[in-house]
Amino acid sequence: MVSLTYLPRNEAMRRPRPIYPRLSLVGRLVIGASLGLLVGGCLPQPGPEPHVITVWQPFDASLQPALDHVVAEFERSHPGIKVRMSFASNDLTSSQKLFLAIAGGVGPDVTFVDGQQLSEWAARGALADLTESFEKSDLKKEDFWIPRWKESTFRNHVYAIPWGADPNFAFVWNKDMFRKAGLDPEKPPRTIDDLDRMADKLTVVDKQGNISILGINPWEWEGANSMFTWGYAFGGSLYKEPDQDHPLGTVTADDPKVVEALEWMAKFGRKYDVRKVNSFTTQVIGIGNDPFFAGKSAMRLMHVSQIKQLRKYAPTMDFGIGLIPAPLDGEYPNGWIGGWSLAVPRNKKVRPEAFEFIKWMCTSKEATTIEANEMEQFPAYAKSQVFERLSKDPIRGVFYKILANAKHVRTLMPVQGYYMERIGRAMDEVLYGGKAPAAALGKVRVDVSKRLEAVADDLAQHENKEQKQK
Amino acid sequence: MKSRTFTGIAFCSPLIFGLVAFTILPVLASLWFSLCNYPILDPPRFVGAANYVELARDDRFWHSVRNTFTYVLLSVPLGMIVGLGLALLLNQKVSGIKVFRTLFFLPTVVPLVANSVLWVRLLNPQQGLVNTFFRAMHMPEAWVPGWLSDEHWALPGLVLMSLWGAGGGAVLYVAALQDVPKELFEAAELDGAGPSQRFRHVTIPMISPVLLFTGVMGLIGGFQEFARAFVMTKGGPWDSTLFYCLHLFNSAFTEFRLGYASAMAWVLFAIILAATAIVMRSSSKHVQYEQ
Amino acid sequence: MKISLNRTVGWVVLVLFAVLFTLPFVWQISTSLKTEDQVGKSEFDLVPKAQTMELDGSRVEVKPVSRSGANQVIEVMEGPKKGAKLTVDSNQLTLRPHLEWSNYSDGFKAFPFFHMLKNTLVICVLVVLGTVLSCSLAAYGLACVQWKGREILFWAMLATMMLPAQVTMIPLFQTFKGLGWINTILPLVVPAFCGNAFFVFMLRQFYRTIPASLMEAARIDGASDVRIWATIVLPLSKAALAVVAVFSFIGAWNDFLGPLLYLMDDEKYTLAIGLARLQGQYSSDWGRMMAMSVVMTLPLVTLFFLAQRTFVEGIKLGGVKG
Repeated sequence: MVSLTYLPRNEAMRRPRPIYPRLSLVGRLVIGASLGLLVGGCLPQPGPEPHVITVWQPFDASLQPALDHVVAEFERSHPGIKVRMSFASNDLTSSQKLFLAIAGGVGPDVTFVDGQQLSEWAARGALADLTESFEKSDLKKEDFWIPRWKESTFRNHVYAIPWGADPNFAFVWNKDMFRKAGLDPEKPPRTIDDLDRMADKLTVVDKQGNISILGINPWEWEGANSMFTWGYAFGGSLYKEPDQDHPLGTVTADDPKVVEALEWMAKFGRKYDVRKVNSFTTQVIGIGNDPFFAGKSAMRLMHVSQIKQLRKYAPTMDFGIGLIPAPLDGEYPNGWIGGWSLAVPRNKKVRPEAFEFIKWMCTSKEATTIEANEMEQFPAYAKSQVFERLSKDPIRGVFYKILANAKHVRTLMPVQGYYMERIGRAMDEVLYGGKAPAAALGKVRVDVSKRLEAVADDLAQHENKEQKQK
Repeated sequence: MKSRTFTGIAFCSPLIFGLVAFTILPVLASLWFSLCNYPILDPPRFVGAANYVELARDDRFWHSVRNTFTYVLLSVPLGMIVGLGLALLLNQKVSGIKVFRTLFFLPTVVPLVANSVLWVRLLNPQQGLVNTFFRAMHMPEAWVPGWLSDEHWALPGLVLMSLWGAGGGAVLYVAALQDVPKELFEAAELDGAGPSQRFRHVTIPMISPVLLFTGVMGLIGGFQEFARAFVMTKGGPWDSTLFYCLHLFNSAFTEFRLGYASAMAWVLFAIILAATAIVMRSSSKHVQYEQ
Repeated sequence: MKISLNRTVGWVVLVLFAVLFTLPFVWQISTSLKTEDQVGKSEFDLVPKAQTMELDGSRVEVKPVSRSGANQVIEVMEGPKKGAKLTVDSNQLTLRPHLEWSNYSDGFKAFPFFHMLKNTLVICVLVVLGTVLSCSLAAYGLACVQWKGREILFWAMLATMMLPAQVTMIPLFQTFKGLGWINTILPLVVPAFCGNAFFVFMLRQFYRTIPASLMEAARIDGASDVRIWATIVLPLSKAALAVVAVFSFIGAWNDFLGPLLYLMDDEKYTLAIGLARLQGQYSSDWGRMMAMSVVMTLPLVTLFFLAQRTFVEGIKLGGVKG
C-alpha cells in the first residue's frame, strides 16, 4: 500500500490541458470566418461579470419556484451579488455535463454535488479545496449532521458544504392490507422474524403459482441501496474509515453482518422466487405499475419524498410509518443518510461571493426554511431551527428520528461508483444465480480493494509529480 | 477525369470540412486515450496496451459482447422484416393511407421516457398487456415470460420494444417503393408472376439499396444500443441487458476510466467495421443500382 | 371481386396493426387526461375517469383527498358546494369518464414553454436546412460523380458512426471550447451544415437508383453538375429529401444531451430539457409529463403527415421515368 500524505494541489497543474495542440490561428480564423457567415446572431457570451455567480442545480421543475425564491432571498440580503442558477442534470452516478465543463475549463462558480459522489470527485480533482474558506468562516463542523459532514470531506480536507440530508429509509405499511390479512394494522414488524412472518401472511399466491399480492420486496431499491440499508440494519458496515495503514479506508463488503443480511435476502428469494418478486419492482414511482401505490404490495422502505408522491397518487391509502425492522427487537436500526452538498468545480477559484452563497444556502434561517417548507427536504445543518417543527410532525418526525440517529452514509471511498455497481452485481449472483453470499461479497471486497489501490497509485503519482515541480 | 475528381470533392466539401474540423481530432484523441490511464478529470497518462490486455480478462466485458451480439442478431433482422411488412401494408392504395402511415410512424417520435414507462407496464409479468394476451391464448403458465424481471427474457423484451420503432424503417421502404415504376409490376404480372414472385423478383431488388442502408444502420445502431437499457433495466437483471455501450458508459463516467472505455470503443469500432464490411461485400451482388 | 377481397383483407390487417402501434400513444394521451388518484391504478384502463358522488340530488365530481378511519375525505369539484371537503364512505363513490385538462394547463406553466419552443425551433430549422443542403450535395458527390477518392471518403464517413460518441465527447467539447462556441447554439447547428453520415448514406442509396441515362443525357446537353443536381436529382428524390428533413427535425427536436452539454443557461435550454425536468429524483409529475409529451409529439406528427405529400408526388415522377 502506498502511503499518502496530503500535499496541496498546484492550481496550475490541475488546469485542463488540451489533449492535442490547439488549432493554429489561421485554422481558427478560417473556421471562424466561414461559420461566422453561417450564423450571425449567436456570438459567444462576454466573460463573467464580477458580481454574478453562476450555480448549477439538478432538481426537477416542481422545485423551480422554491429555487427562484431562495435566489431572490439571497439577492435581497446580499445587495450587489447576483445569482444565476441553471439546470445541469446529475443522475447520481455521474454528471456528464459537469465533467465535460471541468475538462473543458468552463463551468459554474458553485454546483450541487450528491454526497455519495464527493470523495470520488474530490480524489479525481473535480472539486476545489474549500478548507481555507471554511476555516476562515464561522462555520463549525459539529453544526452539521455528522455523517453528512464526513461525506463532504476527503482526507481531512473540505470539498463541499452539506446542504440537504436524506434519511434512508422509513418503513411504510398499508394498514388496509394488514387488516385483510388478519394482522394488527397498528403493529408493524419490529424484528426480521416479524417481517418474515408478516410477509408470509400478506403474500397471496394464486392457483397458477403467481404472486398476486406481495408482502415486501426487500431489494426493491436499486441493488446497492438495499444492501446498504439491510447491511446497516443487521449491524454491519460496508466500509471502515481510514487509518494509518489504510489512508483511503477499507472495503468490508463481506463483513459477517452484511453477509447475514444478504443470506436473509437469499432465503427470501428462494422462498418466493426472485423473478416473481421482482415483477413487483417499481421502475417508475407512482405510475400504474407501482405495486405499493396500487395496493399490490403491502410494505415498503421509503424515502421522505415518496410520502409526497404517495399522498398525490394514492391519497386515500391508510398507511403507517415507522422504523425499519432489525434482527433483534430493541436494537436501534442503523439508518444511513445521503443528500446534496454545495461545492466549487476545481478550475474555478473559490470566490468569496461564491462561498458566501454556499454558506448562506446551507445554514441561513431563510434558506433552510425554504429548503424544509417549500422543497420538503431536511437541511444538513443540524442547528437549523426548522427541526423543532419537523421533529413534531407525525410523518416527518419519523424521518427526523432516523436522521438524528443515523451513523452511516454510503461508502466514503474514491471507488464509490464501482463499489455500488459491484454490490448490485453480487446481489444478482446470489439472488438469481444461487451463489453463496459470503463468496459473492468476498469477491466484491477483493475486486474493489484492488481498484482502491489503483486509485491510491494514481493519487501518489500525481503528488510525486507536483512535488518534483516544486 | 481530373475535373471529375474536382467536382466530386467540391460536392463533398462540406462533408470533408466537417470530418476535418469536428471528427478527426476527437477520433485520434480517443485512440490516444485508449493507450492511457485517463480518469477524465486528470490528464491522460500513457500505459501502453494495458487497457486492451485488461479487456481480454474482464468477464463483464465478454458478457456484454455476448449480450450485444444476441441483441443485434435478433433485433436487426426482425426489425427489417417487420419494417418491410409494414411498408407493404402501407403501400396499398386504400383510403386514409396517409393517416395509417402517420399512425405507424408514431412510436418513433414519442419521447423515450414516456415510451419506457409504458413498456414497463406492457411487459409486467402479472398485469402487463403482453402476458394478458398470452394467457388469453391459453399459453401454459410455465411458458409465460417474466420479461424484465427474468434474466432470460429481459433482452428479448427490449428487442420486442425495439420492433415497435420499425415504422421508421417502413417510411424509408415506402419512399423507395414509390419510385418503383408500375410498369415493372404490370410486365411481371403479364409474364404470369404471382404476388410472392413479384415481391421477390421486382419489389425486393428495386428497394435493395434502401434495404442495405437500413441493414447497415441497424447494425451500427444495434451494436451501440444504450438508451433503452440505461433507462429501463440499468443492465439487469443479472447483467442480462448489460450492453456493450452501457458497460462502456459505466466505465467512463461512473468509474472514471475513460482510457479503458476508449479501448472498449475501439474494439467495438473494429467489430462494427468488420460486420459492415461483410454485409456490404456480401450484398454487392444482390443490391441493384441503376447504372 | 378478387381484388376487392384482397383489399378488404389488406385493410383489416392494416387496422389491426394500426391499433397495435397506436395503443401506446393512446395510452399516453389517456394518462395525460387522468386525475392524480387514477394515474396510480394498476388496471390498464384507457378511459380517463374521475370519482363522483350523489350530492343534493345530483351527481358531482369529487377528488379523494385523504383518509379518515374507514372513510375517505373528498373535495367537491363542481356544483354549488364546490371546494367543500366531506367525509364519505367509499361505497358512495362511483367512477365516471372525465377528462382532466389541468395536466395540460399546469404543464404549460411548469416551464417557460413558449420561450423554450422558440429556442428549439431556431435550432431545428437551422439543423434541417443544413442537413438537407449538405447531405444532398455530398450524396450527389458520392453517388453521381465518378472519382477516385469517393470510396475512401464514403468509408471514412461511415466509420465516424462506428465509434461510440461517449469517448469523443470530451475532445469534441474542447474543440468547441477552443472555437469559443460553448453556450451558443453553434455546436448544435454548424455540424449539421457539414453533412450527417446517416443521411448522406441514405441519400446516396436513393440517388443511385436514379437512371444514369437521365444524367448522361443532360450532361451531353451541356448541363453542369450543379444544374443536374438541382434540376434532375433533387426533384426525383423529393420523397427521400422529405424523409431527411422530417428525421433531422425530429432528431433535433428530441435531442436532450446536445443542448444540455453545450448550453449553460436556463434561458437557452430547449423543450427536451424542459420535458426531462418534469421527472426527477424527488418527485415526478406523471400527468403533466404525459401531457407535455403529447404536446411535444403533436408537431412532429403533423409535420410527418404534411411531408407525406411528397411521397405521392414521388409516384408521379416514378411513372414518368419508366
